[in-house]
Amino acid sequence: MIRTRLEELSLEALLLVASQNGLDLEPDLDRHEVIDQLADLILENREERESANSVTVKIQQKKYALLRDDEAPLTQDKVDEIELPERYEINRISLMLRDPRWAYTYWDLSSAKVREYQESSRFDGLYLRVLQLEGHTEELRIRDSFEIPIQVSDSSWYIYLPQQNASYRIQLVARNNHRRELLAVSNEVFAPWGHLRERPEDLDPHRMALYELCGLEYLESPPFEEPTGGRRMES
Amino acid sequence: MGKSVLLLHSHLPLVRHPEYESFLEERWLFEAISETYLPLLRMMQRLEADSVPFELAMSFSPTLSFMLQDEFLLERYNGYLENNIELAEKELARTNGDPRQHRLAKMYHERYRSDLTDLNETYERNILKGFDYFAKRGHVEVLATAATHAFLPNFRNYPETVRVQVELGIECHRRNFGTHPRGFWLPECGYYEGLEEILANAGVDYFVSAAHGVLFGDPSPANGTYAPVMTPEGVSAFPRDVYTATWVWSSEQGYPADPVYRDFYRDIGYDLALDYVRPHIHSDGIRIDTGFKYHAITGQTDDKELYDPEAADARAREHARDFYHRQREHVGRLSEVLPSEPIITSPFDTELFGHWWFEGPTWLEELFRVAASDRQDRTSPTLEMTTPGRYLREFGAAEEVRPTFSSWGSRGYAEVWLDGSNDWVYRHVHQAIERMGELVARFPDEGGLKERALNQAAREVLLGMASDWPFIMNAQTVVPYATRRVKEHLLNFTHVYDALSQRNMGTEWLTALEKKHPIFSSLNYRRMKLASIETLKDLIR
Repeated sequence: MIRTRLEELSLEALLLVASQNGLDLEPDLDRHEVIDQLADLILENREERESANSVTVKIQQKKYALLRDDEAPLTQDKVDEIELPERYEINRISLMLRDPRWAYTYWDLSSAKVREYQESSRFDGLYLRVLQLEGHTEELRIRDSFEIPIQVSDSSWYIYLPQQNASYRIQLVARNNHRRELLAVSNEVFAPWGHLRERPEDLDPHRMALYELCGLEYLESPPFEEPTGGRRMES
Repeated sequence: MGKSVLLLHSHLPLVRHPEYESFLEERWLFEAISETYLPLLRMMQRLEADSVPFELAMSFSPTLSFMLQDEFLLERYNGYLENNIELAEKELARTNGDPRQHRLAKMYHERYRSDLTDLNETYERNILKGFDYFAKRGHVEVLATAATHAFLPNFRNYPETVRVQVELGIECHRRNFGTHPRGFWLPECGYYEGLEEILANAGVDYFVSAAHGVLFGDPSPANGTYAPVMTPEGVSAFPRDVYTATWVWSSEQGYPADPVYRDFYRDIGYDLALDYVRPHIHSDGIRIDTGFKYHAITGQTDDKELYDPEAADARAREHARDFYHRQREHVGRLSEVLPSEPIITSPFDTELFGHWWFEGPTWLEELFRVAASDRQDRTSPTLEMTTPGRYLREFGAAEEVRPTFSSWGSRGYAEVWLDGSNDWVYRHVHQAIERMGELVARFPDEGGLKERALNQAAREVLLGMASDWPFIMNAQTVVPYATRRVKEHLLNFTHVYDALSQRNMGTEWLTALEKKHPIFSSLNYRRMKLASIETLKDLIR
């Protein structure tokens, strides 16, 4: 069904759908090859999404299931006519916790600031400074930090949090005129443990029996600490 | 001996489009009423008529509660039913030579006619009244929930706005049910550290947490997920049981996947000729579900068996008995490792029963019947159905535990409502919240047209916070509609924001918007102030 519907679209519309689905196409592909790649991608994405969803989410999806997936609009032309501002003319950065290992940050830079950097020969880039904080104290006490270089055109980022049971803030910093210019500091977020406090090998049989009866294998989140690792993810 | 709590959470976002003659997404409500809410009320009526004791907890979101009483939407629902009755009559004629299909057509004909009678006569166009009746008789313990079902962890930087979501939810509950709610359903079980302070200040006694929200808490709970814990602020958290829930929830292995049950996907809206179904589908000729489904799940095949209602009914009752006995056995095993009597907390999305799982209401009915009968047969019952409020009155919370950030969504945290598909929403909605706070500070004491505009601006911000829009973007279902809704609320807010700055508010525009979104009619915009001193202190540290 998806293929039939794709075949009804012009090449221009197909390329729009490809771009909206994040598909990078070789420039010399013909129409049929574009349709092939798009159909595969849409199916693959759907299967991946379905298998990743928890049962609670799957049930909720049925509430909104008026149209079969195959009948849903492939592009968002009409909606995109409603424009939201690209920026709000303030320098600020916000931090949101997605899960104990990942946070999302978004920021705004005023047009004046962007222009200043674009026109300055001494502007040497922007970066996010991720601060891991010491406890919950009134003073900003930094335990550790790392930097993520970003472009002036960027406005959001997913950040891997190396430590759990720790608090974080993000600083938005520019290197300009051989100096570091602090543009904004985010709110603080606390990344919790994200797993049971005990390690499996430390559990006594009684506790282990209770946890098994609690259905650890059905939890939405893995019950024990997973080996650290992962990658920093770009928005 | 153990306890079992069944909690049904009922919610739909506000979808109301008087500017169109008909609007596809309004069918979310119509299908939910016909397939879930009216069948549940009929189930309760049967139990009451047979003097079967039953107790369950339910939550109704303010947006759904509003729609279940809204004259405009219920008039449209009336039209939906009339259209379906017309289709049922066509189906009675079409299936005349096929007795097995014909009796299914007859079943739908009777159902939609009963819906029409219930809507207009039994409930006099106020379906919420039906649930209030059972709440007043002690069968249903009703919980409140957030005003527009915002996923609260994603707004934790705005405690005053979270407070408005909580308090407004409670006020709607009081208006609808005439009592102060003891329990508060956190949308999507979305909890973050510190939320309990807002709940405690609003007079809430308990909420339901994702299982790992309590299991990963501090300290580890001695009773696992089988007793409520007390947060440091004195609000109790009932952890969701994931062990027994999988028997019901799982779409692959759970009861609803049984081959004899009605198939959700096969529908004559897709199966029959377009010209035949055209008057009963989308006005643009796009095929949609009509609600007329003639096939059983059968298995992983397109060659589906015809649905047999009697066989499905018998299987639902069998599954209910199985669930009860398995829960009782589970309680027996738990009693060997727990210091006190376990309580199993089973929250479900209400639409699982009827809309997704057609036989769900029958299953529920049988569950209450078997629990009541077991209670009568034994001098000391081994499993008793109860409600969270009653349990707390009798036993209280087991121990003090500080729960942790969690939700019942995929992977257990905020990922469903915060990923590459929907993260763009927050930059704008957060900005609107801040600007709303700015408006309150700039216009603290307005009256007349300005006050109306400010109240509408507050409404638009709250409606833009609904969890449904990022959920739909993540699920990739009706993404254009969800995107449009977020953008429209933001645009409406911005219109007021700009007009107040430029002093040129248009009465006509405002009146039209008030009529379109007449929810929270007594909302006072001044409540949307920001916790400015704390927020600023936090931001400049």
